[in-house]
Amino acid sequence: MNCEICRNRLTLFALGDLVGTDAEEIQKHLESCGECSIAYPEIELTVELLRQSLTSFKEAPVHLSSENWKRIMAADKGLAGRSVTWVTQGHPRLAVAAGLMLVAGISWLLVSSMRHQHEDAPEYDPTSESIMGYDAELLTGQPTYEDAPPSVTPGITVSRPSPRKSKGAGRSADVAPGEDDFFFAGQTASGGGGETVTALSSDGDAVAENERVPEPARPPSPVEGKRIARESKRKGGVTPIISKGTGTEREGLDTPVTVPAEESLQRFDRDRAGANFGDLSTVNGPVVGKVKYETVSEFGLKQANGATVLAKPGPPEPIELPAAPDVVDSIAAGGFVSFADDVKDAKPSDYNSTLSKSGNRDLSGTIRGGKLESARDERRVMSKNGDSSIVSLEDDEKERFTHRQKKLPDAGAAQIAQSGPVNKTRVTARRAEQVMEQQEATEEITSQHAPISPRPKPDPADAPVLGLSLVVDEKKFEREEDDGYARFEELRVNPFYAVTARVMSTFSIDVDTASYTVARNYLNRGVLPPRAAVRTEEFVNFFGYGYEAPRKETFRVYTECAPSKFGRGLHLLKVGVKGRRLGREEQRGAVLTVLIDTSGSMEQPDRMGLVRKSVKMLVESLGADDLVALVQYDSHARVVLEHTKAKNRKKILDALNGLQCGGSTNLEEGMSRAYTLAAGSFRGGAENRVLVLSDGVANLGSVAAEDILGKVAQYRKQGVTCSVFGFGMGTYDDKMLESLADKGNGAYAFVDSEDEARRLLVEDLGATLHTIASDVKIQVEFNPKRVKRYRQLGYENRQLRREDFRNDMVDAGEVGSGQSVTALYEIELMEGEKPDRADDLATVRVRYMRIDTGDVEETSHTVAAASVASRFDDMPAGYRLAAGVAEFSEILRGSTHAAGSELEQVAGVLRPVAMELNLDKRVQELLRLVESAKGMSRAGE
Amino acid sequence: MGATDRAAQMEAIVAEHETALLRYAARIVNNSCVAQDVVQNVFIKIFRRWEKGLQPSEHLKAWLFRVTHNEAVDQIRKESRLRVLHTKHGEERKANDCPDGHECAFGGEERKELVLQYLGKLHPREQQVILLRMEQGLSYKEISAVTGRSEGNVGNILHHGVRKLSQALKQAGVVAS
Repeated sequence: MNCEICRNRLTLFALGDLVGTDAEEIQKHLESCGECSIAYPEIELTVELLRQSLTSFKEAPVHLSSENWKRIMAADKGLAGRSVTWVTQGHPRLAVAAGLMLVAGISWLLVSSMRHQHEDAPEYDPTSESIMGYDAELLTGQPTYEDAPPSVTPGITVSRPSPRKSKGAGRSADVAPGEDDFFFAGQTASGGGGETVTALSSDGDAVAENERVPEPARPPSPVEGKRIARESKRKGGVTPIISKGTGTEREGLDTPVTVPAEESLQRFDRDRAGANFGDLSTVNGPVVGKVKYETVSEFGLKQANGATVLAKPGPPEPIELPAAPDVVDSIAAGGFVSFADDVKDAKPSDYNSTLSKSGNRDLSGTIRGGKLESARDERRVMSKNGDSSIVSLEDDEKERFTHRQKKLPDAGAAQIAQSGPVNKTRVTARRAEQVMEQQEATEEITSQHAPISPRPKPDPADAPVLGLSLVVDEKKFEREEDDGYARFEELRVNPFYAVTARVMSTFSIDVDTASYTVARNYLNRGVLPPRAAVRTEEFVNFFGYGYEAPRKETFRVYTECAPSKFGRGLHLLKVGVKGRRLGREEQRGAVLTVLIDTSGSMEQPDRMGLVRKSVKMLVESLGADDLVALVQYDSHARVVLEHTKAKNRKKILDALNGLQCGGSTNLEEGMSRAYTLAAGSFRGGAENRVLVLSDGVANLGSVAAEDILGKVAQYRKQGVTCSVFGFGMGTYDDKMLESLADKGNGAYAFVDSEDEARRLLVEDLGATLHTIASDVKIQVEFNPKRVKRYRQLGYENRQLRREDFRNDMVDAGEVGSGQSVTALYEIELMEGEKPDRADDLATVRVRYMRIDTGDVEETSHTVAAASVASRFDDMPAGYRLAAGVAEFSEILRGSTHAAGSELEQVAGVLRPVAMELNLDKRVQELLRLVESAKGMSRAGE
Repeated sequence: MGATDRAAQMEAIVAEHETALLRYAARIVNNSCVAQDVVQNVFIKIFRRWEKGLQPSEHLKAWLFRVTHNEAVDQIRKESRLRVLHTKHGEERKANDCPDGHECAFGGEERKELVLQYLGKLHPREQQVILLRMEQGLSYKEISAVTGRSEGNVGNILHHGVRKLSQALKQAGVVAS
């Protein structure tokens, strides 16, 4: 016996399947042959492992269900019911079908018997060197297993379709000839013991023991094809799915995803609460002006009695202001109010023109919102009790606001109910009617602006006004030739909007910066990042712009506007929102649950090693009484360390160092365990957070993903937030991780180096652990008289409907102590207006919920037309930096609006900036990246 | 034979084979509810073809497995979710199965997962043979009948599958080299 033969038999030997002399020979050979005796134990062990692994299969059902039984029993002739998949009906058809079956079957047999006999089916190559990885895609093109009915075996008569069959009394005639016979050996001549029936061959001859059986590869057999076709016809074109499951006819392997209850509740409330539609300065019902600059109040100025009434400027109704100054205001906040004086002064015609042109309801004579002094900040504070009044304004202004709505306890646009972090079921009480009216009105408005047929891609030099249609610019990210592949979600690019069509830009803020670090990673490796991985807002927010932090208010808004360096005839508006820094004593404690992915793929120094370093850094930066817990997950989840005070560093680090990697990625169980632990250690008043550290490889079906996200959202409502940190490129599922952080109100960041770990897990996390505001939304309202059209750079994923701005049920981003958010707009100004008019370009409103008080606040800031600078190059470095970064990201995304720009132009803008900000390492690095990107191509291209 | 006799015999057949077939089908489709439907359909097929006077032969078992296999594979194909033997066995299983709160023993558990995972990556033919031989305990003759290949061929396939599995496990560090 030579080695080759021996080796080939090792498995059978290990199984004990070799008999007699064969086994002895192998045994002898193994004793004498060194190499074979080394090869054997592996096989033996593998066999044993297989045996062990296959023994328990708890998920396998042991019995058929009673439903199954019923159907089986009903399949008896004469009892076949509709519920069975392949029931056929109609006798005459059956006869024909049966005949066709036979013909088809026989001809198929003939054909296949003439096929060349291969040793193995074409698709199976036992000698192939590749160990694993038969790709499903490769194999499912063709059926790998023929549904060959056992052919005629010697001695068994071929069954002819009996008259019974053709009449089909409920029997399907799709039996291929011969199949019966194999089964029903009652007729076999070799029956009564016919064990000489050997392997089934298609040529009808008995096949000797060791001969190979040809395996015709074929598309679904004619039998089957016809059956399915017949079924389809019967059901009217619907191909039945085999599985009936329990009840639903068309279920495949999935069960329908149910919308979690809370979500429908949200939807419901959002619709009704409409609230934010802002009734605003309802005097006696009619809404005066919702929008600051528009003339129209879209809510149709219907009064309760149905008649359309144009609100007229009239003497304000006296209302009593409650004594306490800092009391609730109406949602009217934000400048929708009309001021008494303005009301008198306003000429309806001033503001009507543009709108009626665009086809809006004619509201001549409507009053419109007042003009606020430029650059004035107003603050509206809604208290928990919903009293409507104005807050802390100077007395002379109180006069202006006197006409504002009286306290309407029931209607209370102002009734912002409890807004504590725990109870998010606040409803803004409104008269139901009003809500409905406003709903209808909005719907009408929106439908008037229904998207028209998509235009061709806008020429950046002269983008046409698009109304509300969106232009999808991006190609879906293709698989890249990398180790594994990263998955990103395709993003569209914000188009230009005409101010008259869409006067407000509303979005949720975002402090994530992962996109920049991911892109940087690609660039450092010499390739351009995939388009879908580039998010402009994350690029822009990666950098600091030197905003000064407010002392007392929660946020301060900074705006700058100058001609754009990159857009012809356009201006660039930069909006920065800076949060307050919490003092040490104001910082709440933290209860952190660190969930670490310890699946096999994490076993790399730039992943697990970095995770360990990162967590170590984090722990060292926490306060002594902050709590930390460690949970690991691979195929299952395990609590490694229960919540321990951060001062017990050794204990925590020991647990951390003891982590081992291996197994698959059971994110669901990991999240579940982590959240349970977090909930158990929940400390009110502290920042309770789950930190997920993973490389993102979670092969989840969409159902499981939905479940996880739903749970995360639910916990967030109860006060446990979730931040996600991605480690390691390659198999990096960006979308899933981002969604996790999104639902969890935490940040999502990508850690690729120790420096980054320090920045993210110590500095930034410190900031995010000390959130100052949540559900932060920004709304920019443009003045149609000054701005023709605008385009927001980035935040495509964060867009909100305008009515959602004041809908406090709508989830938005969080801002931590000292953090800032920057948004950019390219705008086109109206021609011919003198720039020195004391007029506004736009109003920026920021609405948020304060973490410390639980109040919802809204602050606004106007951009004076006079503040528009005349030269780009004269602008401060921060402004030019933002412009450069944004353009860089636009180019990287392949945005058509960036067409015509070159990286060299971007570099040209950034060079002086880098010189001026020479202490900012990130800016230096950026410039380097831009320069080096010039020659690069995209991965996979 | 009368309807009741047939029904009784059917019941006997189902009772005898259902567990093994369910298990086999569940390995393929990775979903216990679907596995039940697959096996149900197999039995329906039998029942409907039952000619009067025919008795089940000893080849029934092989036939059952073959048809179950085909049925299951068809099901997968229609579904176009490639959760069959081709995909990451261990990872997907938890997500797709009908809920059951199974408690796994610690230690060695991951190993089993890994073994099954790699098993799932083998060529379907190899997986099938391995499952039939090791989990179902079919004889080579029966496996031959199910797969339509000769017994010698079956032996080869089995060995190749195990060998590849062994190499993969070695690389993963589960099997010491």
